[in-house]
Amino acid sequence: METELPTLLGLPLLAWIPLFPLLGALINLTLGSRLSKRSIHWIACCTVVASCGIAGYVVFGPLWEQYKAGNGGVGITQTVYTWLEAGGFKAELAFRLDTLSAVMIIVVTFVGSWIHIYSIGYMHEESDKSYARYFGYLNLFTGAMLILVLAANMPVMFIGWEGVGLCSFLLIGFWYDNEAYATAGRKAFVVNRIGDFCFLLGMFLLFWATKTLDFAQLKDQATAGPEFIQPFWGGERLAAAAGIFLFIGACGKSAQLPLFVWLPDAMAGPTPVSALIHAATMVTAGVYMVCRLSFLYASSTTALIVVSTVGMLTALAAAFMAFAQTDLKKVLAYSTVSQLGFMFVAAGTGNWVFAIFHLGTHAFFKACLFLGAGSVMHGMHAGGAHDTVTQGDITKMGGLRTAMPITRITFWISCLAIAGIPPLSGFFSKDEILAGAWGAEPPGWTIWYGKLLWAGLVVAALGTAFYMWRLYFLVFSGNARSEYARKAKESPISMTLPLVALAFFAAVGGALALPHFFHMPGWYPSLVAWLDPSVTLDWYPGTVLIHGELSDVTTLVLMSGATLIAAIGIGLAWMFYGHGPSPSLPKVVDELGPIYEASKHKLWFDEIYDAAIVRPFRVVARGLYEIVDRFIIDTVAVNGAAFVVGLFGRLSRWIQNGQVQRYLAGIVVGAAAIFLVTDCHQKPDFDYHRVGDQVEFDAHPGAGIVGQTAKLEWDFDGDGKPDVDANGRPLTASVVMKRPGDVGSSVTLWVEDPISHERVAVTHDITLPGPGPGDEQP
Amino acid sequence: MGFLLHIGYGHFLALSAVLFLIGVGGVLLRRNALIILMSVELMLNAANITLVTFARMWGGAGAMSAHTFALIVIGVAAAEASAGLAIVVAVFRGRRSVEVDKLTVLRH
Repeated sequence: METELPTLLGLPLLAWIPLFPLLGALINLTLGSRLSKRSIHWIACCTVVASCGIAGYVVFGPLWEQYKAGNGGVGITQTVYTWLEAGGFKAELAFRLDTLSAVMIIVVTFVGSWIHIYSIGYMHEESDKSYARYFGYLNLFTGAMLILVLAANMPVMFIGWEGVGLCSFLLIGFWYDNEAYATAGRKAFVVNRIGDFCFLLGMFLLFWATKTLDFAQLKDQATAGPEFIQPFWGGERLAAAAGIFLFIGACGKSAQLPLFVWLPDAMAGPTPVSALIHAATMVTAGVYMVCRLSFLYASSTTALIVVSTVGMLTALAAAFMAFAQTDLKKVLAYSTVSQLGFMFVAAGTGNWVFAIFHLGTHAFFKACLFLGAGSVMHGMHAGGAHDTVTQGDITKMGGLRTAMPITRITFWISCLAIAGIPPLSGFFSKDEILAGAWGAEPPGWTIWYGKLLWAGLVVAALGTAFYMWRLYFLVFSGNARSEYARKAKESPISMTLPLVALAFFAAVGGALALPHFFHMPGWYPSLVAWLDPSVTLDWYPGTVLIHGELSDVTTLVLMSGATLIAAIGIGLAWMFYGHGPSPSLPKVVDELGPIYEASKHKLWFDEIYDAAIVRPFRVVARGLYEIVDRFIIDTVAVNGAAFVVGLFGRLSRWIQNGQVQRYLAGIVVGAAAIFLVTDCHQKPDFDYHRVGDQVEFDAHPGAGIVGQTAKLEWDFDGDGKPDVDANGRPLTASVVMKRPGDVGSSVTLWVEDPISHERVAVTHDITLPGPGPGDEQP
Repeated sequence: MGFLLHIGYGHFLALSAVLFLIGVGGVLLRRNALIILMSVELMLNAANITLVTFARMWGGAGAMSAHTFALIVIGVAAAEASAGLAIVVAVFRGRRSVEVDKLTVLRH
């Protein structure tokens, strides 16, 4: 059953969802410098809110009907036009809305709208030009992200994939006159490129195997056909290779090991950007992509193991690195990396629904935290801190609870949510991921693999609770540790309103997917039931369901355990930071020694990359620069071309001096050359062929008067003397007919030049052809 | 020494070639426009010698057309000499010189 969506102004309604923000971007980026700030932010916010409205309509209207009719996984597809068609390859600019992309567009447009509104307050001090640029980029980003999630095939998804990467680069380096910020933007771009390249490889591999890149067709093939399963290297299924390549792409975009290094540096951008791109939406693209291709990953245990292992290691490493950071946004950045790791563990254990659920709840509480951080920095700015480093330095904060009450409350709620305290949203999503990891039993792997994942995540969760509450206590509790913090003021309503809205959803969002033992009535809008049709439940035989069902008791025990862990983390944070940094802290740091250093220096990842990749690369680049660029291109190609042109220029300048005599010399030389190369002195020759029962000899004495007046003599009988005819006169005709019997074994022709009287003899051995017309012999 | 005793077509053609080359050399190397005109006359006359030589070699009816052509060349040479001399005089009036290496306006 197909549900037809209406069109708007001739374009499919789904296309308008990304188109609205893109139009806003177009206006703001082209005409923005002539518009007032008021119109700029009105355009930007209205377009995003409009696409949020359309998204709400299509999801809760037509798609809801589809879902009720049991077609939530089929969804609604609308094609704008055929984009590429070459041979067997066809890519349409098509958008597909199913229950999975529905969740994403709601999150993106909803959180995006709040962040646009928040930006009005946060960016109000920017110059008019950068203000337009900022909102233009922000709109462009929202549009690209919506293309990414609504794409019906991989090429279209790649447009969005690259688009968000570009906007990320543009917005991280937004204050590009600061060298460090511009570098951070470049770093994000380059690291993302590595991932994008692998994404492309995975895409090509899929196309090579299946001859299609359309998600719906791919899914059909996954359930029906052997395409993903055909053996690849080492007898592994193709799905493993394609899945791992695509996952490396996701690693770049979603900041997983080993490509996570760009995200902490991405905090150079304006804070709302960090909230929108580097916490709530863009970085979740990788998770979304893995869930979108769930059928592919379900065909390969290896790919799933890779996904979940990388996710777990990232969750742990990032949680560890967040401990010793002193920058407000950096702590949040590491926490994002860590939470993304949680999502990938969920995706890697086949727990797609909860990967997306955690993505959604994380979008709310992390956006709220980042916007809260922005609000704090704004407050510090009002208190007199002018550079962004001081504004975000948590060692200089403290005691902001009285100055910034709204920010504090929302931050408090979000911290509880991310730590996983019931009944806030983070608790439900994180708990289900832990439970899913506990129950995972990938075939061919040891039974304790799932338990290992679980243990890793629990440690990461403990870390999360600790560092998030360390952050909270350092910012809001105790006494002010600097003049700025003492004078800090609460932010304007345009900033606090989004905080309240996002904190509200961070608090209650968990109600969308209560644990199964609550046995909710049928009308309950469970996110699990909503998402199930869109992600695959068809596991390739032999992969079996690695995501096991747990009994109510196990679930309850796991839940209480997770809550206890969160409480312990918060308690530890309270112990050390509850009233500002405790006096015993330096001693603890001393005892931790190298561990503390490792955390502070992010496990030396940047240093290792610098030594292992950047420096060798620079040496190679330097060599290429010297050899290829400086020598081959500059010296040989460019200067060489100039030299040759100059040479000919000098030559022709010597000739073209305006004296007719010089020109005439050219004519004479040219004429002489023509005579030289022309075959003006043809060599005398003759040929023969059979005509009837006779042989005809044709002389070719040469061209022109000389040839025609040349004196010819023949010797047919081979006696070495010129023949004479019956009357005793020499034979001088140029064409002679002879009977075969009269011709000897060799025939000679003498040609005498009429001018120089020089005699030239031509002799040919004769092999007479058999009788018959048309037989030619040289 | 036979070629010196028996004058044949080759001698005439060689004479023609030598005259032509002298003409070419004069046109290319001399500076004075009058001498260049004289050299041009040499080249035309060299061509005429060739024409009548080949007419002799060829014989027959074709020989007459070659002779006629030679007469036309003499007429053209006369016309060319008068036009050329007129130009030389005009140039001399304008520039007080007929040195061709000073006439470089074609360069521009």
